[in-house]
Amino acid sequence: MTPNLIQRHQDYVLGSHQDPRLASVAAGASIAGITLQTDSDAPFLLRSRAMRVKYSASRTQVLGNLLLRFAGPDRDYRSQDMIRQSLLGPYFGQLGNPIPEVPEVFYPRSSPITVDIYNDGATALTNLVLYFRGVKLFSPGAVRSYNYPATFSGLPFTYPVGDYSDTDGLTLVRNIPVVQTGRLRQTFRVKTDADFVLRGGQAGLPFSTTPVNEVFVTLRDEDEKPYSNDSVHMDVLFGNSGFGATFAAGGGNITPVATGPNSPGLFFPEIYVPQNHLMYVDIQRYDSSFTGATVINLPISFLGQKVFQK
Amino acid sequence: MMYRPQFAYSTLPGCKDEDFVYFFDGSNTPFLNQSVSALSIPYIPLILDQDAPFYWRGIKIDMRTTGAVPPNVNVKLRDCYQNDLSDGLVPATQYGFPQNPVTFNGQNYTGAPVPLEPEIYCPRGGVILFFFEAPTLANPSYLSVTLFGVKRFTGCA
Repeated sequence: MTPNLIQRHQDYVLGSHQDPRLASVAAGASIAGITLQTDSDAPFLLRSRAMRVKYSASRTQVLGNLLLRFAGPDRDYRSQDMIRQSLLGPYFGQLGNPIPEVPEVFYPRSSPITVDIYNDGATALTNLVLYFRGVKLFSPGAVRSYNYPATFSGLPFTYPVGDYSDTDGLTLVRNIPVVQTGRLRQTFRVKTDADFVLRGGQAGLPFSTTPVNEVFVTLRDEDEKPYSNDSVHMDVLFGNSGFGATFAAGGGNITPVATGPNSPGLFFPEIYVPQNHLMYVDIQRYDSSFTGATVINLPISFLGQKVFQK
Repeated sequence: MMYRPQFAYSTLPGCKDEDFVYFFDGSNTPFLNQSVSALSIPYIPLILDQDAPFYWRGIKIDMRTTGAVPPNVNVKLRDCYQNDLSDGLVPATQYGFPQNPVTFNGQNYTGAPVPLEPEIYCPRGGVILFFFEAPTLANPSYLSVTLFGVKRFTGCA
């Protein structure tokens, strides 16, 4: 229980930026004691997990041979041995539907998340990234936190993110180059007619004929404080409909079903943005290794509701 | 409050709710009786029945094509009181497309509708407006819009 504390969505990313050994986990290799230290600004409640590798040329997530175990803050492992992760979730917690961790795991400030991994397959895992999703706990006033008015009415609403153009009549994140290492910043402003509650999102170009594979997103509040320690892949944060990827399962690969806007990537707690207030969306992309990759305009939709004060 | 739970949809005393689905396609909406390829059509009226108000709780926007790959179509809806449900056109795949399609026998089959929460009140005989914009498509593509919710009748308790 966290009475009187502010819960704020947080994704902890453990990838090659945090531990270079995850850039390539060789066939048959095991790595013990991979550690990510949580931030010093707030304790963390782990509530779900996800993982991914770099897409293959055929856009497959070759994760069927990943086994791992992770530990709480006292290096108290949560399984007696390493577990094949495909047993826990068919899409490895991606597509906005992470693998739940119940009961939640409490990590004090600056405490370690420890992971052991094993690749029992015949091919290397490239750019393995592990996501630990949950909330940070802040004292009231430590971060901006808004809430519903005493009386209100609501309207389901979707905000596209990016720049509007009269040419196509759409709001898109425009002109993302094949390689965007610096953060391509989008400013999201809530219109002045109502507050907005961000509850989920969708992103991607599912019917694209050019590769849109390694696209990463960092969400930030109006103070530019991020909701993650590193950028999160858009298919982990949001998911999409008509999803073109396949996921390793058993001896083959499966296409995801039941993903998309009826089951979007959810934020818990929801993110309340008052009217005329801002959020920032930083985009990165690394698609140079995919043949045919070109500059893209990317749709990102924030799903939620308008809140009209009464 | 960290998360507003879903509103409880109770039926008012003296009323009776009936599960109801509105389906709009080329058979009852002339604007949808054509391939949407390279078309941009605003203000398509989706006319609701006169017998009872409709409480709109879910949506599917479906795309039937003869090809294996559905087109990327952008849509917008406006409720009966001129409230847009999105800030401009948004991809149908990110808005009302009912989950990743399962292709069987050459057709795309779909699942649960996309919930609209909170529900949207639509008066009897109300008109929902539908906007769409589609790129040039290789195959004929036909749109349909399905609205899910309840009709609320009075005087039948």
